[in-house]
Amino acid sequence: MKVKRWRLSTAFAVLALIVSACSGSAASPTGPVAITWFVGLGTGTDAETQVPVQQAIVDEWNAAHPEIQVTLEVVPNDSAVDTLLTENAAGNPPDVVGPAGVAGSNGFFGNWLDLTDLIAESNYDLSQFPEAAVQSFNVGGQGQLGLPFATFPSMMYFVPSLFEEAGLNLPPTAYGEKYTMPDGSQVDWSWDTVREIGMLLTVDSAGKNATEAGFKPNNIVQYGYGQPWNGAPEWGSWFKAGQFLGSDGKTLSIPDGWVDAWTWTHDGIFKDYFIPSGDVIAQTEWGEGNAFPTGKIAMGMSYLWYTCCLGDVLKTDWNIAPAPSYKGAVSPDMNADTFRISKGSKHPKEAFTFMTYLLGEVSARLLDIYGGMPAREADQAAFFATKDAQFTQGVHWDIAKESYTRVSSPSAEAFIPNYLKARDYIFADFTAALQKDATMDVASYVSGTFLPALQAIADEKP
Amino acid sequence: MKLFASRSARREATWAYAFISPWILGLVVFTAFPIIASLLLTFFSAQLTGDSRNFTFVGLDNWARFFSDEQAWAALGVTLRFMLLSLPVGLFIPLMVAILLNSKALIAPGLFRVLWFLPYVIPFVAGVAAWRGVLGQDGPVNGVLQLFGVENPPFWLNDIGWIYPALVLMGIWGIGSAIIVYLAGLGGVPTELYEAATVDGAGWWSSFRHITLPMITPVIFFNLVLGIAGSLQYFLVPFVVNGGNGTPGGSTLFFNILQYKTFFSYQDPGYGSVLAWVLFIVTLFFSLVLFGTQRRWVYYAGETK
Repeated sequence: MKVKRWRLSTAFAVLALIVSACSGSAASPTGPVAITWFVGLGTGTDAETQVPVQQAIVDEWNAAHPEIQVTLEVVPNDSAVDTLLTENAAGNPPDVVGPAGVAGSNGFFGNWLDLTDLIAESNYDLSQFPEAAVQSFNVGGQGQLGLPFATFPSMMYFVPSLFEEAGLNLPPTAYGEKYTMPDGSQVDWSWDTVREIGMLLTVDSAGKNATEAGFKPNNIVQYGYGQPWNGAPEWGSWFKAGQFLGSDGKTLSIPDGWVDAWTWTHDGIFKDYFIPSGDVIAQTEWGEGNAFPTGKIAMGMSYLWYTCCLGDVLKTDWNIAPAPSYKGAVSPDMNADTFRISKGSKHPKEAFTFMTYLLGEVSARLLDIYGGMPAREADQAAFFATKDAQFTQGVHWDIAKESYTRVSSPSAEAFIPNYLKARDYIFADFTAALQKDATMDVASYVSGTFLPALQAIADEKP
Repeated sequence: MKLFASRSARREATWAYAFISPWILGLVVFTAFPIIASLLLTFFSAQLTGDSRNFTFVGLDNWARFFSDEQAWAALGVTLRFMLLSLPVGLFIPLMVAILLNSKALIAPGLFRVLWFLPYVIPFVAGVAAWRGVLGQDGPVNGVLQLFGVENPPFWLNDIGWIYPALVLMGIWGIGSAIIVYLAGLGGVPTELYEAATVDGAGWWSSFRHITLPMITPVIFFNLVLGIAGSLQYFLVPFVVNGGNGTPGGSTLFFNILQYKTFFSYQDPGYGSVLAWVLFIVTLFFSLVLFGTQRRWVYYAGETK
């Protein structure tokens, strides 16, 4: 009898342990609500400059709001996608996710909460942001998935000393300004112009530029143009904004101007020699993928966030110019980071409260460490004052502001079905091939190989 | 014969089961269940996240997809090519090192054994990260090559022609366990065989070929089976070297990396499970071939034929 009772008690104890283990960490009705802030899809993972600030913000919040306790979860960028996918699949998604850009969030299509009701319930003032910026987060069929926070317009970075050394005029300092060529002629600041002066700025070890007879493409010591940390969709978007996905939500096509953009790049590498190839930029001497800060690349198109990564060599020897035009029109693509709430969040209200704190009270501190231009126009002057203190050479920040007003749409990171696999293919295969395969006929490769392969990937997840 | 165990024997058995139950539970939950679940998953289209979260029976569609999936076949080709290159190196270099370490002429053999085994106990991820630096463009390997007059040393990790030699070189880092197994095998060869061979006038090579090699064939067989399975499941090194993105030119998109990405990164567990089972079938095929041929070349002392 005693043994039976003992066995019964043991069984109950085991059952109780299992039940308590499976019950998760849901707070009691009267206790504090625990929410998680996931960082890793975009910027925010730098252990020295970013994580401590984010942790301090969380600590301050927790001290001031005992009813909502936040845990900061920082995951290295390389593994953030897999981690978040797994947390979602396990039904245990973080509550607030970000900062993340369009690409970062597209990989989780269908996982974000529509904020419309929460905005209405809390009377959150949307008029503080430009209407267009608010609308850019209103994704068709899914609702208002985010609120404007950090914007990263694109522009042309350049190294003034390399222009001066080559006896060339500096690029325009405002949109609409002409560029003065060495012969004194005034030309549009276009991608054709970038090609022409790019060749003049490309120099071999004997000091000859890429337009001169006897120039040796195998001994280049300085290039006219480089593509720092971006790929085929960005290159296409900077010529003309567009997206692969058609209006039926299934069929993919190549946007107008993109084949021209890719041919421009491919020719620039293998025919005109003013852009380093994939093999060159992978070398340590050329920055292992980030060649511009080596000081041996005269121009590079990128986003505002790129000020993060200009290294120690250039110091103050860089500035920005407008986005070049293609067929008379400019198309400055923009990256935009913000915070989102997981659709599976168990505490969406509390998550929204915390998220609006990040977007409001502490946004200046966060934008400073993320390098993002405030979406709230009222905060932009203070932001650029901080940037001026950081970069003392007198950067033409008005160009960044104007790129923002001229921002092209749709984004280069626009949605494609089976997004993560499609992006993998576009970057690891197609972009790499454009930079490595000298024999590629770009137009036929795009129509015969790239597009069918991309469509097949999209069709895997209709 | 007792049909029913005594009460104390039953109690003893109950306790025995109680003590091994954590292991049985672990086996069922973490091994048996995933194996069965992954087999069942191959017949389903499963979307685990988002609005389109679903679980639909698709019959053999996922299996049919494999046969027309060029990327999967390319990844299988990459894996088999690498296996052909890495297996001989992974099999014979440890054997050569073990023979040297087993040599009576070697001073301080214990020290050398420790030195050769040492890399094996260092976390492999850390080892690979270090190798990335060693084989980097400005790394010490290229530095040495330049000292010997090589003007343009290889771009080991970014050149399709050099990436496999680089990966094989990194693999040598982990041969410590194979060396230990070989050393155990070499130590088990009866010395009287060598003595008899010496009396008969056999030299080192004859002794090695006619005594050592046949006597350690079980160990070679063991390392071969593990080597093939390891090569087919090759994952960690390319994943650390370039994040599993397949560069340069898809040459490092190994089958296991594609399987992992399909299952987790692309959230396609149905097709990812097919890839896992294909890998299992390929591994099983090679293992069966090896076990089927072992009677012809593996010598087990004491075995009666």
